[in-house]
Amino acid sequence: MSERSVTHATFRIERFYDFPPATVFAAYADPTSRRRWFVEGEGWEIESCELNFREGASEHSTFRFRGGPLIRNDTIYLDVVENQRFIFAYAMVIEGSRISTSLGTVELIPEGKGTRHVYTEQGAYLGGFDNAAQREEGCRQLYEALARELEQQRKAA
Amino acid sequence: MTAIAHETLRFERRLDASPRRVFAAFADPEARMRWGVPSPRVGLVYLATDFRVGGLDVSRCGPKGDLKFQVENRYHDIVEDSRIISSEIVGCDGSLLSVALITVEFRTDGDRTDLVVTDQLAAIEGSEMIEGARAGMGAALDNLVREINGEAASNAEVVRRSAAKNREG
Repeated sequence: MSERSVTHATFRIERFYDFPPATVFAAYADPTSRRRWFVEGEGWEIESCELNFREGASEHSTFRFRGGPLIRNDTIYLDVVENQRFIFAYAMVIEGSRISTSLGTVELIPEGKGTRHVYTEQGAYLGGFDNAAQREEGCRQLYEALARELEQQRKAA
Repeated sequence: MTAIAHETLRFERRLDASPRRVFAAFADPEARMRWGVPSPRVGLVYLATDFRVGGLDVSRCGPKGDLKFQVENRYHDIVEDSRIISSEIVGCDGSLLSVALITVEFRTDGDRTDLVVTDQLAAIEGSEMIEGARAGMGAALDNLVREINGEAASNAEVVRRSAAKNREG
């Protein structure tokens, strides 16, 4: 694949959490909580992290996986409706080379006493550095980490 | 609760000009105001423009005399003469209608450009923004083709006439 080629893909991940939408939303909005499940993780070394979850705001973080290349995430929140949905655009950059630009939609749909969390990513993946399947797998792991975070919060309460 | 519909629209056009010329038609807001309106009944004005990575364009569009749609376009990735990726938020009276990730690729083919626009849309259900984007982007790109290919044809005509004149002289 040439350096200039772009692959477009869409994937959707649905997961049920046994917590109301307000609790799931708070796990994104509260920087302490989100840092635990979204940023930290075994093998991840965080070099900088600035969380800013509100409409129109940007977030930037840099990190490495087990001493690997420097990865940067630049995110901007385009639409935030409390406890219901949010839409953001984000770029992933490895050692200064952009690997993707994506649009992410999170919908929090009440279901019984819990929440159906629906994530849709529409991405432009560049030049063979990355692909949608890897990204989807990475996101699935994040939503498992969110499940553990919510369970931890319940135990701590 | 309002649901969101996701769709990917892809538009391809072949233009009789270099990627540099076609890229310029996207970079220049004056040019966009010309070819970007899908029909003579539609108006488009820019309130702010900033064509660079991280920059934001704000425009209003809609039927002439009622520019009810507000459009915010943010540039995420710009590779000169090659690629533009931006996100676009469309709202009306303070309500969100759609958000889109728009990739414009300029592929060179000799003296021509193969233009590929991929519009990845997240539209509020009932907003009819998917059909609106399909028709609006399609018509705007047709205008661009007419503008650029018309220019190329008229340049070729000037060259032909001047060559004929030289032969006569």
